[in-house]
Amino acid sequence: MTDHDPLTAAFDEFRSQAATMVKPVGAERTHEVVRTRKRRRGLTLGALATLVVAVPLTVAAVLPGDPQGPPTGSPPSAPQVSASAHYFVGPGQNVNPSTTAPAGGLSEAGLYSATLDLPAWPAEMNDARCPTGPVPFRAGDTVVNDANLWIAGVVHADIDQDGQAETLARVFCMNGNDIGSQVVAFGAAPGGGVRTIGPVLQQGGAVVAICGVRAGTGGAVQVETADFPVPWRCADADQGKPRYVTRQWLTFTWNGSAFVQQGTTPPTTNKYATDLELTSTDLVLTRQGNGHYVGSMTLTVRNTGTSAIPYKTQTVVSDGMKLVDAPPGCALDRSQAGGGMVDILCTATKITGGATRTVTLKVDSPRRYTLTYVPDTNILPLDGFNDPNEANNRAPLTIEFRD
Amino acid sequence: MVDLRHSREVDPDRPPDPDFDTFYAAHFSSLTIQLYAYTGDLPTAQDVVQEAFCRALAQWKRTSRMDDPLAWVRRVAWNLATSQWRRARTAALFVRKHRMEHVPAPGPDRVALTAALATLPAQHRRVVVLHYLADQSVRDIADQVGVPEGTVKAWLHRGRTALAARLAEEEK
Repeated sequence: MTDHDPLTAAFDEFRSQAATMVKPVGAERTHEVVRTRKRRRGLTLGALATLVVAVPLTVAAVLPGDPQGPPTGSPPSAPQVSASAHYFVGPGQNVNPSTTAPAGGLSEAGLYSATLDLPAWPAEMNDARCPTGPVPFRAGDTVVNDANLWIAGVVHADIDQDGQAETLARVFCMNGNDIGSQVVAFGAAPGGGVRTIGPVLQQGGAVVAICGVRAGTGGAVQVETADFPVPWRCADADQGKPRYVTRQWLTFTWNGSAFVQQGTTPPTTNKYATDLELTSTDLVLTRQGNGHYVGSMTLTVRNTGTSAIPYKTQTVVSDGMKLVDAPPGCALDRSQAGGGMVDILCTATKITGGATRTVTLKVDSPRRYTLTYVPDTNILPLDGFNDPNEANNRAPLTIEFRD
Repeated sequence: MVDLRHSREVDPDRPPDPDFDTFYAAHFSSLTIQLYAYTGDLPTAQDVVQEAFCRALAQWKRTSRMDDPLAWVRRVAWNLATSQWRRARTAALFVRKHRMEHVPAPGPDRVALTAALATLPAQHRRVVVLHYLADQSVRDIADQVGVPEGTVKAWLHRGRTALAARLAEEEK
């Protein structure tokens, strides 16, 4: 714009003000995130991990009368709480924590302002740098080296049947996009402190989210799990209820040294979720008499699961290419066009478990395009349906021009 | 003659790949400011730009050899800002709403501009932001948005006119 454009000054002012607010995550952290994603993709492809039902004790704490006695060794060092830490009410956190508790138990409010000796977090949370060992909480949450921690859900159960209640809490840790939780058992320590009994269940493997905790019968502890990364891993349990998410309550009991699951985790089938796989042939465009280039590619969709769900495919081609003799449900979509790219969307009805479908897209290109993007094709479940395994949802696409 | 995109991308005569860290440092803030102006929400802008850089890094050998890697990252960020990915991450706002962020209060100019921008149709807002904050030419914007240059000029004209009027109302 010219110097006389009053908007130039307004945008310059905006730019300078906003620049002070931007907080880049940093290239180093970006490398870490991408490395973690690649690792996780490998893990996902490897297997759906078996639910870990017995989590060993990792902290220096035992129940009264535990025949093993207190473990020896150096206590974990206390993490440093940043001086600039700010506090927030985490999702699922009780803004009016209860001040009462059954005999032997810790009140919710008491736990909110205690120093909690946190068990080690599962390995998949390593990048979040969640603190282990004594962590001072204030009003139910805290920040340690950029990791936000908060307590979302406190219940009581007499896990060792001695007439004195123990306290179970769902503890969350979040750092950037990494978030996880664990259910931890606590007891009252001499002198008014809190001692850690041990973890009941930690997020990881098939436990994609922990959505709740409650007391069972006979001293049992019940933990609700979800098989999908629901918003913020069920930190706010009400947000984790899409119909394509399977939630179930697992029951754990204390055996004197660790919590063990009662029974096995029943396999579940969610009728709104399955695993879709997409593959594509290359798009080879051959020069025609009119100077255009014409060719076709075939998308193959396979439902490797059991439930039937509808889906759409999204194929990125050059903006300017036309879809010829479009198959039913397929059309060019310009809603995200730009950068020389345009999408071909194909919306399809439910595909049954085990079935395979193909669709052939015939493309007319008015000229040879120099591609300045990475063409690919993706498959997405329609709204209300789910495909948790994203590893096979994208197929690379090669576009070739031949004279 | 075969013209494979991939053969161009690995052209040995091209200069070495730019370093990702340098690329990130050079462009993260400016892209975030552009997306902030477009979305009106700074955390969302930071999220989508960060995600776009993650995707660029995941295929950096390809991205870095594109004619304009920055345009690719910008396009991805812009798509993310309007896509299902963003909707899926709205839970993040849930957390942020509850945080007591210790950040400076926004200046009145910034508030006024984002409020005025929010009243523009999305396409007008997009070309205005690309023009003023990304310093892109009409031709570049046309390529980025995927519409003819004439359309960009029309949108830019309408957007500027409406924006100036809104800001003038604010000053009264």
